[in-house]
Amino acid sequence: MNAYHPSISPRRGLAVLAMMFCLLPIPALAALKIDITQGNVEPLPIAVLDFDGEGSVGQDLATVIVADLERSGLFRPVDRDAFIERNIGVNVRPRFSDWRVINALALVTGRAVQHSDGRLLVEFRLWDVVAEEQMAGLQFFTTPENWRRIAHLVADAIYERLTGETGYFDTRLVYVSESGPKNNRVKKLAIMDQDGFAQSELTRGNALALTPRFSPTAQEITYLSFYRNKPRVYLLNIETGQQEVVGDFPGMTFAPRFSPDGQKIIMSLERNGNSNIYTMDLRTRETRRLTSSLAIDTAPCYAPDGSRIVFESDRMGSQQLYVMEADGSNVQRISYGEGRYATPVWSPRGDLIAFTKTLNGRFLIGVMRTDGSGERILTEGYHNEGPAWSPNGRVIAFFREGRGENQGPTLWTVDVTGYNERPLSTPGWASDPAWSPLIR
Amino acid sequence: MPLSSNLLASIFLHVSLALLVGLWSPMLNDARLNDQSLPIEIITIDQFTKLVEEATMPDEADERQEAPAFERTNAPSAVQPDTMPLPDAAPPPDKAPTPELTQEAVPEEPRFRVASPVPLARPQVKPKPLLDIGRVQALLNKTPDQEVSDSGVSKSEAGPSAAERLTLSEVDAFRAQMRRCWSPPAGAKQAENLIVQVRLSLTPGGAISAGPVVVNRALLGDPFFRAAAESVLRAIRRCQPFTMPTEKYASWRNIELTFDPRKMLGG
Repeated sequence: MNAYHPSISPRRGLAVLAMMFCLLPIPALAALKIDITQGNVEPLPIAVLDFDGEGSVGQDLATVIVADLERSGLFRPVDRDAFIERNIGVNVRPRFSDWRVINALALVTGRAVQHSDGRLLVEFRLWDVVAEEQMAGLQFFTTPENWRRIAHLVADAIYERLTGETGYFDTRLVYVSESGPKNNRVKKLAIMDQDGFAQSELTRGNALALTPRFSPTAQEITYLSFYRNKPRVYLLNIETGQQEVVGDFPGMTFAPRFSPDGQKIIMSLERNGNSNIYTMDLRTRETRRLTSSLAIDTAPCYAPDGSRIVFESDRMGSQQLYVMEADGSNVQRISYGEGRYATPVWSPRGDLIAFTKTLNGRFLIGVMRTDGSGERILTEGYHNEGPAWSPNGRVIAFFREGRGENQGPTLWTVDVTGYNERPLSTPGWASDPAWSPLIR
Repeated sequence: MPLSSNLLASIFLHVSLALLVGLWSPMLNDARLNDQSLPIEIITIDQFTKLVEEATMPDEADERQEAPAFERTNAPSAVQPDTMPLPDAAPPPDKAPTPELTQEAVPEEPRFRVASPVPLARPQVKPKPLLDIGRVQALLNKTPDQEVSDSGVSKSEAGPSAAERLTLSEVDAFRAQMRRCWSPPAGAKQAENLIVQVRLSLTPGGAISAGPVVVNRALLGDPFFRAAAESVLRAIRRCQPFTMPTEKYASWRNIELTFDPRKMLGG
């Protein structure tokens, strides 16, 4: 350009330009500012197409994925009958307008093919229908019989991408399976997938089995059983079936839980009518006493970072929740509401503590912040007990007991918002659920 | 000669200004697609390939094969000899399928380009370029400058007359429309802190002409914030066109929205 304007040096031209823009104080694009403080909490409409594949596996996968997402309460699967576009290959860009018409905001397409070596290849893509972009795409290999787990892993990936939260569908629950009359119940440990499938029993039922708790790091549980009519804390490896008693204490031990690193068991030891909180290192077998009150201190549970412990105690008269440092120092009461508080459980996310509260003869499940503020009751009724967190801290499993003679306990889940309460189906009566970490 | 030189300088400046405004704007809009539409992660073929490489690391796959989560053996479990008698153990359940499980990103087969549906508006945080087209446009923009009043609604000093300003009920109508589309991140960890600010421009018909773009994008690295921000963007896009008074277009052509769930979720 300078060739045409020899009298203006490039420097001078730039300087003039720069001056022009510097001298005029022009703001960035002026914008109307509006605060939006109210919304409508509702599940995200998502369409999950049957995966391409031979036989029924493609449809089976989609069915399990849809069921997982729907149960979480955060998604509303769009009815298959409404789909306009039905056969989209996993590698084809969908016609997004067809999905917007039926009000789907997200779309999942996938494929399941059997490889020549017998393995099943499952791949999927998650699309943002509004932004017309791919949000996730993953591929899994497995043996064909294992397709349910793959469906859970796909559902976890979708959940994770759309909520920012780690999923919890590829998990299992251990619970106490109950049968027989109310005054002579047989109580066995049983295990199932998080969605109620793949039920099996872990103990035979000759001795009572109570309060199973999962290790946060391994497929291992600690629970309470009886030896010569005395409660004892046991360890059970789910993979091998191997069991052992935790420690050889003179009194009875109960209310066991793992430390977050899975290396220690924290529990109550009862002697002469009062109980205190102890830990035992599973490798060194070293025990340590953390509380020494004349009251009943029990139901201890670590914070996920291992720095603090919440427990229940009647040291000030009624049953309340307390938090202390991991070494037992600096005990602070955190529950101040009406009623009695029991079985505190620290969320794996670290932000909340779930508890059972007894008020006017009713048992409620609630959550509070770790300093005791912001108490919210999530579910109430005649008898709700035994809260257990999903590994992502988003859902609480618990059991609910009916009032009548022929009633028995059943398992339920409720979202931390309290809006999404669901029954968990088990073959018989079931109580005391414990949620596994992610299996992977 | 000096006169003609000044004339030439003037013509040169005007022509280049016109060229810059006329030609650069669309180009910049295109260029912005890459670095400013971030709220939704675009996985390019390159990244895909990289993901495949990362995810198929043989070590990880082998480890999963060796430690299948469901595998059980039917061998009787050994009991620790030195402990007390144990409660009964049922025989381990039937051998579950071996979950020989590997996880990989989907291969790079689909070679379509992922493009943002609309050109994006300029976020405030962008480092200043040598020549700021936004400023040039503002030069030509006859919309008066505005500032925010206490009520959270803009008003302008020099600019739109009172008649051009949105009334509170008009703003409330907009909020009501937005409220139906926005699902706040209830239940997310510290959901009350997930405050998302976005900018967008609207056509006189109330449809999106540019954006929406997340303003406080520094937080997008946090998966909770990213999910919350994406949900806000979806809400805005599916909520359009917005019903607004056409005669006051100048005052709502550019909008900055702050989605603040604190009141709803108890901050």
